[in-house]
Amino acid sequence: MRGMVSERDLVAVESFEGFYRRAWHEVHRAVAVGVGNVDLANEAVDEAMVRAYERWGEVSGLENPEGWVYRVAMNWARSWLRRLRHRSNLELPEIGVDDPDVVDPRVMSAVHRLTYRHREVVVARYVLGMSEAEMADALGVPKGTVKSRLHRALEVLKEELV
Amino acid sequence: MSLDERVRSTLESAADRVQGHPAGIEVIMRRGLRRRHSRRAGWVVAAAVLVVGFVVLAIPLAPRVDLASARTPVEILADRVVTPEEWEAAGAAVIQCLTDQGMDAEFDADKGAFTVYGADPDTRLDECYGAYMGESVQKVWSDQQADPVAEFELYRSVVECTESRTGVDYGDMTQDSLGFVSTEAHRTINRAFNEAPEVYNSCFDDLTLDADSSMGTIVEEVVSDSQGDARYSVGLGPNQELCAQAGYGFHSQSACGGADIEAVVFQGDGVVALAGYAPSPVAGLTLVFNGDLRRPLQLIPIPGREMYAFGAIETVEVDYVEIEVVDGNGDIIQRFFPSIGSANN
Repeated sequence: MRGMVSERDLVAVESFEGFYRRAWHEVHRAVAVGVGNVDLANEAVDEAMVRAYERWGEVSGLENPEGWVYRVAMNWARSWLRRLRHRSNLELPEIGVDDPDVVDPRVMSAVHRLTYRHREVVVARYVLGMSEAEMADALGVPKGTVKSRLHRALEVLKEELV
Repeated sequence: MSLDERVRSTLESAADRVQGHPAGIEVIMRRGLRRRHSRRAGWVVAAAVLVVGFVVLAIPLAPRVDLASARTPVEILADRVVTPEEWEAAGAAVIQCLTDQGMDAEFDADKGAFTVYGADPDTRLDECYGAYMGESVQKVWSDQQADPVAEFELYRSVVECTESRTGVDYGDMTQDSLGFVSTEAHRTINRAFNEAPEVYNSCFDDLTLDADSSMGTIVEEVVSDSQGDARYSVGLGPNQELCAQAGYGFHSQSACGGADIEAVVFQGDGVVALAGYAPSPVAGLTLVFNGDLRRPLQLIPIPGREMYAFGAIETVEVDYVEIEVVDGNGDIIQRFFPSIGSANN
């Protein structure tokens, strides 16, 4: 395989390798909390990383390539879940809801009840530590949209938890 | 502890307990390279044809999906059977629809998953997916919804009517290559609605009055707020077929002519409207929003038929809606997932 790769590709391969090793687990834990399932998050992040590698020239130039992978993984998982729900009664177990070592299971339940878009920004903020500008860039939406989604998500959580 | 700290510490503790199993860098790169090289091979072949010129016959590349021959969601869902070829063709049609809007997208036929890049990917995917693959077991869509030309003509008439009553030119009404209302036309419609909402709504009502007046309405409700009207209705269509319609603002969707349970859902600005009908052996229905928020649905007997009508308007933003069908013992015998139309662009 190495014989088919140009020198420029070799440099790109090595920088992607570093990114992959550094970012995979960080993004995976966020996607797992966001979609509520570890195995689905596994597949989603693997797929997103393949796409990142395909487009590495472009993705490596982004300010926040981890955010790009997060968005692609969440979108992929969402469309997979959409199809799954229309085809079966399969219930996916939810991360953290029945886990005694999670700080506040009520919070986990409330987060799982958020809409997908709200969950996406809450996880990006609190698990990936993204700023609003980084989220806007990663999710491909205006900063105002991020602000209003985050605000609305926190209002919903407040109503449920306080 | 503040809410902010509670959420942060909880999500971090949950995330810390996640154990992932990555495929491995070699697997990822092999898959990525394989896809890259298959694309490059296509370009190399095309370039060779150009260079060599007219002597070499053009090497057939994968044919573009003939969108006209892809079965519509109405046809696919009517018999609930999709061949692998139809599945791939429908997926390709969704990709083409997204590409036509300037998006970059991919379809994993095995997993039925789309990945979309570009501005506002969720909304674009919802639109294209709804147009070419359908979202639910909904059997028959209204003639208007399945016919882009009829839909375009309706909106063109509404804009013309609004312009004639206000004396204002809101812009051009054009169709895209698939016959749907074009992006430019959407801007015209929005301009007319935003600048003269009462005139627009009056024109819309006048132009759809004929269709509505032929319906014997069984149940309907309209809830108005500062943003617009949410509404639902169940009644009889021109051929005495049952029709359920749910909408927000000047958008709606409907389902007609079914003999089994049917439901349509439409949401806009945090309000959801739902309408449907079900055959009489059904003892009870429960509406479930986003897997958790539950509402019992009142079943209204439809005179002369062994069917019930139902409808609801709720203030909630939904990702998905489920209807649980229960029998006389209160046991869930079926779960139904209607598609969700959205006025939020």
